Amino acid sequence: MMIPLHIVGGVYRERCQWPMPETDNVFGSAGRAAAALQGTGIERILHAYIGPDLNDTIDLILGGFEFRIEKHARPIDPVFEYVHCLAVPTITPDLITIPRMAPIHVTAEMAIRFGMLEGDGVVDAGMCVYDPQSAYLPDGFRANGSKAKRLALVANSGEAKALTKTTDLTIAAKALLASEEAEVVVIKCGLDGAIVASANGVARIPAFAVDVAQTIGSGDVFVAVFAKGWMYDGLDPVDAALIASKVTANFIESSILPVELDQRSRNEIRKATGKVYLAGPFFSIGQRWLVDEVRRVLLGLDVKVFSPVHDVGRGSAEDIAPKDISAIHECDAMLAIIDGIDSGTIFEIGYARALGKPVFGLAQSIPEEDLKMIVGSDCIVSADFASLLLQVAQRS
Amino acid sequence: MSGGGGGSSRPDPVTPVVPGKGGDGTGGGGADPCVLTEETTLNSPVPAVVSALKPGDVLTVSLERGPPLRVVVRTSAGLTAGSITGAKLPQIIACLEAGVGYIAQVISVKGAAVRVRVTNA
Repeated sequence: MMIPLHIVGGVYRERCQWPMPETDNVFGSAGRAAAALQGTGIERILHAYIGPDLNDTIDLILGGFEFRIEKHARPIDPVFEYVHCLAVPTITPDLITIPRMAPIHVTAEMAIRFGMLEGDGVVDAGMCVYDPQSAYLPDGFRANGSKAKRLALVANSGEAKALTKTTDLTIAAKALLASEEAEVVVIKCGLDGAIVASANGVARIPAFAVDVAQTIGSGDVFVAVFAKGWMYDGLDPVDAALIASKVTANFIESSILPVELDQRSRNEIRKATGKVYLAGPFFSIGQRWLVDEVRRVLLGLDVKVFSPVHDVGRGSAEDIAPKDISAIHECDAMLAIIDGIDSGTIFEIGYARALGKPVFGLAQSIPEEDLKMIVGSDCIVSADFASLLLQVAQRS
Repeated sequence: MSGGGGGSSRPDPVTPVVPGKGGDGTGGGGADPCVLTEETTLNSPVPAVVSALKPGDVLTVSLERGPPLRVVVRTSAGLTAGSITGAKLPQIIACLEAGVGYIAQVISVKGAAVRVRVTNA
């Protein structure tokens, strides 16, 4: 009989406006990891805080995924709201008002522990995969008294840097092996794939290209599939991480749970190295917010960006235009916010196309007729914010 | 889990409104909680069934008692294509239990990913 997998972590409602249609789910990291592994033959027991909004319904909402839920009371159920799936979510209630609950103690042979907003999981395990789940102040696994005979730490690059105070991720991985007393350290690096460190050395595995992207929860799926491979299938951690990366690509593309475990043929992501010209109007709060948001996401994807409003600023036509034109020449591609049909943006698109530069256009509410010349001149136009920006980051 | 704080409004709770409670069939005087239009991706897709689906196909939405209790989408031949999940599931279950019928029209099929639009039958 297979040893049960105990998963302790957050269960939250998550709503995302774009890509349309809006999604409204109740998963959180732990709920999603438990759902992801349905059908694998692994009995899963979820340990999570559940509040009054979800207490009577969580068994219905997640029951179809066939895992057991051990509920621990909390006074309120936090909700994560995303404008788009690469956005920083708005959490209600305000983080500062979410009370900190007494920790959940879990003793198990096999466990996954996720960091949580409203509390903590204290684990005593034979094997454990730990994902700190905190961009700001991640805790080491053993800081709260957790113990594991065999530990795999799976962190993103920000968490690894915060835990080690170093920006070199290879050095960070090695440092975490020692400081966490871990058998394995996996550092997820977005489009750069992941770094896997163990006593056998440090290896890199790739991320895989997808056609469309819904990224919420992709890290949770990675953790779940890695845990299955490492803990249950006895795989080498590099092999387990490689399979997790491929299955995560399946999930990002389809959003299907439980995850599709097949390792279909996919191209490895080749991240572009040039600079992107960010064209778009910035004359109202909404326009400026969108320019800021596109720039934030692209920079977060490690894309170099030239943004006229950020890098040149406001000024006279004589002052601004030559600098912007010069930047179009220097950049290898353009991301244009076409909504609003701003005359300056349309000019910039035409200029870039005349130079043979690829143009990626975000257009969510524009009549087809107004896009005729843009689409007809081989610009890549999409209403899907996240997929388009990921496409820009992977342009060839 | 990372992210900022600062929202002030909360979405509707996921507790279902029982159809008919309150005597007017609308769950107590508000909009009918069983009138629904929702697009979603089927979870737990059955590959052999979804591979035969095409956009425009109309599927039935029904309760599968299990256990586990699930809301499943079936073809006209009665084959289960997948299940519907999400925060609104308790409401859909309450409405199905009250005899309200729904259909799911296939919008797109890409591999095992089937997008459907769920509406009242």
